[in-house]
Amino acid sequence: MGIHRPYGYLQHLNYLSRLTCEGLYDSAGSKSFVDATFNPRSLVNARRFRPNEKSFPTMVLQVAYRHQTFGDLRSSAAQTYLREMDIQVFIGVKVYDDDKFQVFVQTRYDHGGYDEDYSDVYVRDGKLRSITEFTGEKISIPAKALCGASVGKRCPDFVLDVEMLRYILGTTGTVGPKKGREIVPLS
Amino acid sequence: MSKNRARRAKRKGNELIQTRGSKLRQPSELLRIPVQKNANTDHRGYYKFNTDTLLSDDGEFEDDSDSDSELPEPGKEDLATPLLTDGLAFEEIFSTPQDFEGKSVEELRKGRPWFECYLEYSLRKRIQEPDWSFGLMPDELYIHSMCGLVMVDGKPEWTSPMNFSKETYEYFATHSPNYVLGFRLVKEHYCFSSSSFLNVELKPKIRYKAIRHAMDHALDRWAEENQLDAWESTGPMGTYNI
Repeated sequence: MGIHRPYGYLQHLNYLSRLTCEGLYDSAGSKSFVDATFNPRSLVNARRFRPNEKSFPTMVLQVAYRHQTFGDLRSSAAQTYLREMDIQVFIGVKVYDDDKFQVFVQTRYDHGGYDEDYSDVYVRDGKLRSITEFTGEKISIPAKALCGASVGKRCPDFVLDVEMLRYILGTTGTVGPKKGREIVPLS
Repeated sequence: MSKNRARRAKRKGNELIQTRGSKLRQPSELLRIPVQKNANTDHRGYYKFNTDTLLSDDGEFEDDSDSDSELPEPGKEDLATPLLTDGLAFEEIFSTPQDFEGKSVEELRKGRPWFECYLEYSLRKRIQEPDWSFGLMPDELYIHSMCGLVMVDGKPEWTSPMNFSKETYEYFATHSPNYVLGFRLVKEHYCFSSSSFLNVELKPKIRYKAIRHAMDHALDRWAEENQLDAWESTGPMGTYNI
């Protein structure tokens, strides 16, 4: 597989935008935060062209703040993270105090060609779900958005399992490979 | 968070009105009693919040180990410390501009009591108010730029929002607390042509680390099945070093 570079990769070098462990800076110098970022490792190795400067991650996950509405998180994802930064996929999660949650996925889509700045944002909204009830909801994320145009057409999309998120939200204790505990859907 | 939302937060500050007749108190008079850090981060276990104290003891970053925390037994939480701002009106929490503008790191420490008091006061209502999935939520509960009273020529004046330079922000961003009653605290900095200000936000009590590991695992499985490159994830950005 070839080296994946986010769309508009070179453009942001001009703005001296950078990604650090402390937060996401946009071109104006503002600093905002996300809860997790995901990148192909080849991109991580390829983008270290200068010390202490990196490109934006391919996919980010953001949990809404308390009292932040689902719509506000969705609009901020489209405006700030996908259009102003070179992030390709934004996963937003809103968790309520009454054991409800809602997930959405926004994908950046560049039309390419002569107008590289023109891009669309595709939104896939999940339904309002209960944390205590099993859900079979799945949201697909195009492989092209995650790994770039070098991915073949036969590569299937990545499927975000909402049940996995629901299980983590609804249970206590450690979930992860370190403790050897498997994520098993509740029946 | 979008810049539009940040601008709305900026406008919100203008709606706050200073009341008169209250006695101002210097932040140095406010004693801070250390408390044991509340490790409980399960959002489902804290519907009835104990607001006797809001601030955690220290600002050191432990881990985003929400998944490793254990739930204390109900009623046995060590949250017996009174608030710094108990009995104080908002007008009594103030500082002087010289406390935090254009000062060195050592000099900036003078602004810490004010910042702590301000956080306590401003976040208390937001913690107590539940975040339901129904109904409308007033903006002031989740949009909060740092505004307040400052002493100008010996007189309190309202500033909205307070102008935080990058150096000032970097100081407060590394300042305790990172958690308020188990809620993760995030301080975002927004720059505009005329001003820059600080937003404080709270995150729900969920297991961020577990979500990241599960997502990372799913991505790696998908990449391996399709002979793609492996994936790498970074932690909960924003709470790692602030």
